[in-house]
Amino acid sequence: MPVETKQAVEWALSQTVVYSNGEEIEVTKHTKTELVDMVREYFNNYNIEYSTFSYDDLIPYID
Amino acid sequence: MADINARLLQAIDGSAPQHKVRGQNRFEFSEGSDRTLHVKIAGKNGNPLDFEGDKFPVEDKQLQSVINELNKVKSELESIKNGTLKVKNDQLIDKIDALLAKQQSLEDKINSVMQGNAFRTQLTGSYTEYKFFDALALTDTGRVLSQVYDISNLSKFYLYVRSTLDAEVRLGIRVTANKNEPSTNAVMFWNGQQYEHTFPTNNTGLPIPNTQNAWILLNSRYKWLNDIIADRMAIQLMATQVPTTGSISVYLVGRKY
Repeated sequence: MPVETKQAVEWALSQTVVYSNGEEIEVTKHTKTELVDMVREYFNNYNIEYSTFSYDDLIPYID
Repeated sequence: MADINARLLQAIDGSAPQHKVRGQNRFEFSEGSDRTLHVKIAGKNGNPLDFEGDKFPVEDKQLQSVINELNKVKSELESIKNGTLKVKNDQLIDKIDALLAKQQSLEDKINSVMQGNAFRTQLTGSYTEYKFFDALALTDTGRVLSQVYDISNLSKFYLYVRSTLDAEVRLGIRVTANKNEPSTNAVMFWNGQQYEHTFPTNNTGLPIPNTQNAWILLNSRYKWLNDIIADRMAIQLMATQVPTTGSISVYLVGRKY
């Protein structure tokens, strides 16, 4: 995982995801999909290179 | 000589619906309504069970066993909280999730019983969950094979998929029919006209669109999934284009024999 993963997780955990049906989901360590998707968004926003990862790969970075 | 030394009860034109009275040599009329015979259910000593309304009575020991189970879950959660029960970091969230889910289910059961509902009778079996993929952020169009799970102890299973990927994914199902097969192989199924391959390529495999915050129940579209009995199972994924955002999860929920 990239060295920025810790920051990415911290940022993701402060986000809210809004879906097309209007449902808003606050990202927590239990919303696995939203957490992974937001971490990925962080990597994309900062042009950080990464390869395929999953929720399990983020567990060491979750407090 | 007759086996029962008593006269049958008569209606105007013949014998009436009746039954023998337990322990006595006499009959009494049977009654019913709505085209159904009324019955009473008796325990092994012959004492009838009391009904409240139309519900079965809740046996204290059944409720007590649920409460005991709930107390065990609460105690385990408390032990994790105060550090007396050590759980590996990478398993902690799953463990707490599972305990919280169990606690909720037990509390729901107790609340339901308190509201007058009967215990749901489950003669055999319990549920299990396998996570083939858990929020997998795919970044290329290569095929990804999941862990292989033993499903030989499942009488039925349901496959749930959730994808937030910005590319369509093709999903493949691989099984081993028996323990002697060395590895899982892709399933082909009859689509009504020909055998169709679930081996994922750009135009084969089960297409999975972006489902946002919903789960697809694959069994509802691919009815043949309801009939699979196999030894082991794995899932294979392949994105049809390079995904740049999102992730995909594939869970199996199965009922054990």
